[in-house]
Amino acid sequence: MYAYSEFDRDFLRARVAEFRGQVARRLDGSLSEDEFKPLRLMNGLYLQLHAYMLRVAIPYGTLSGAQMRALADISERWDRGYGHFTTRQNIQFNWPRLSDVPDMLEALAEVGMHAIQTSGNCIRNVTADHFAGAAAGEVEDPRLTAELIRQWSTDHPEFAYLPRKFKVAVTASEQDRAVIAFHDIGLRLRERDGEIGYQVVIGGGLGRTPFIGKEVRDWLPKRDLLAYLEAILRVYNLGGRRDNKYKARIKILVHETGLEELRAMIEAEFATGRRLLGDVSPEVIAQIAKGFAPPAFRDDPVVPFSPGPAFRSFLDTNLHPHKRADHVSVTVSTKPIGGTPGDVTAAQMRVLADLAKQFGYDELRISHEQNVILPHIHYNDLGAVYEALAQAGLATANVGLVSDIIACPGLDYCALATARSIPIAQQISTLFGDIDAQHDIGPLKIKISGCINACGHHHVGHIGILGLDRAGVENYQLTLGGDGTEDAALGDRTGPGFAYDEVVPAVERLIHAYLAARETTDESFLQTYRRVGLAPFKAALYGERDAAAA
Amino acid sequence: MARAIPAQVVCANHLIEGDAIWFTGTGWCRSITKAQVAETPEAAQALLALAQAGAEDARAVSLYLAEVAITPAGPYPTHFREIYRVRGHKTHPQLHEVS
Repeated sequence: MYAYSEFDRDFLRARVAEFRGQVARRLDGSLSEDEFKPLRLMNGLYLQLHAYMLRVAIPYGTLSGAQMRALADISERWDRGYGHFTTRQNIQFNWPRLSDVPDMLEALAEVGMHAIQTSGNCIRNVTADHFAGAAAGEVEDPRLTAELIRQWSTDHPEFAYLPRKFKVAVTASEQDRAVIAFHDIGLRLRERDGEIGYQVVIGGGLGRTPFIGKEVRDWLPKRDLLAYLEAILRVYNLGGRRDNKYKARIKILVHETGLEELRAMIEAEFATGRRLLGDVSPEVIAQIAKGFAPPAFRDDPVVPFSPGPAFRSFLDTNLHPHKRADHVSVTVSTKPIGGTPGDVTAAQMRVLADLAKQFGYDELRISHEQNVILPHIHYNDLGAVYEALAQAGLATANVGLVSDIIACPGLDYCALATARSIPIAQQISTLFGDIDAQHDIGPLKIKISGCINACGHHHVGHIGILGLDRAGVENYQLTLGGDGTEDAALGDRTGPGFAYDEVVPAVERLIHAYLAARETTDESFLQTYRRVGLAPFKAALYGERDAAAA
Repeated sequence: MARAIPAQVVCANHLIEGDAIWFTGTGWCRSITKAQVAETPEAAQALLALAQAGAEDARAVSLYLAEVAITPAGPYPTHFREIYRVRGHKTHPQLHEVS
């Protein structure tokens, strides 16, 4: 992992001290609410329906055991004993008191963490493939690039007040697990003639107006990365709309300007800026690379074992191939049947920290699918890891299945939400709670957002659910066929929405329609949808006659 | 004569705790049933202005008007968002015991 330098630590200490002073001045009345609000948002502190919410950055989703343990301690000391992992690979504490937040930030700084740039119209936490550094098939650890961007973008004075927030994701595999096509900038490391460079995609996004990102460069040499990113940001900063927040993201600039014209503007800016900024320094790259050196992997010969049925089920769904044959990445589901997606208690965090330390080279990851990853586990340790997870209620064998649902906090927490998300996820999870039945249904990604902002990524769900306020009543639109991977696709809207009490039965009908339509048990929901199209699913939702009219 | 509208109350968050509070006409409380009700647009704007005037001293932030129905127990929200706000958080109450 990347280790903070004394410069980093001094910077964090100064920011905490600054915010402590700002809170004190707010509490003694020296600062008005209007003056204070932008200051708290710069430190990741939101005011929600029932309480404040502190959003903490987890750079590219990578955590050490000590950092996870610190999150557990913070949640117990200043919150309510749990945290919520988000689709941005961050964690949110949902119940802090304003007067406690400086102490929380100080505790975070002790372990090299913070909440800077987790809000506001700036470059947000850079996300990456959650199997980075472990996955078979990646050309390079994408976190080297993500860390370089983190260092460049943190407190970057030119890009602190962009037209809107700006999100960057990085992957280094052909299989896209970082959803790069739906970010303001998506970077894919690729190899060409023995050299590693980038494919650069811009203008992707979800929210009110979803777009699949467009390739602006099929090849960018690594040395040019920062100059090219500055060129994109500079063009966006000047050209992005500031008259309408709903049209202010770069995706709208790409759409309204056209890719070719925008590319020409970026290339012109790049040609100028490159001379000023120069290449990425090899010394900086070398320093970053030191922080991501592979751990000293154990070489013990793999000892075969015979798992029981529950363990077998876990092995079937929660493992991902590692670049080493004797290791594997373990995905720990934060979605127990009927639970709240992404919520992990302090006790569970400590179990995860202990497992990382004992068996996982002290590394943890948070995935954009709101799960926790132990990226490097030797096969011989799988039994012990599973037992510990099972005792902590963390061994649900549902990764990639119908109950592994992404859900935003929705109207149970969020001041922007227009409907509830979590209870819908809990009901679907409970309805399909039987693990054997889930395995029979096979891979299926359900994603739920409680408003049009799409924090729950509903546009790219195989089944997407969007909760809206329709004339004072919660109403849920369904989309089908969305895909956040390298085969990026936006879901197709099925037709009229469903009331709160109707949406879970509607999802059940969709799944039964899939089971009836699939050609083999190996054909996934998404494959079946792509083969048969919307019609049979609409019929299942609305009935044969109404489907034609829907 | 002022046009009849749905009755309204002023709600807000507490500056330090962040939780939901309602304006009583003379102060703030944590139960909507004690909230002061305005029954005309003019009364609602006057109530909001009165609440805003004392908000800083009372540590009330993010003030807005919310529609209510009058029940035997007092005002109660008509919109689901405000109903959830009154009910409090529900998704896993076992974790919500404040230590």
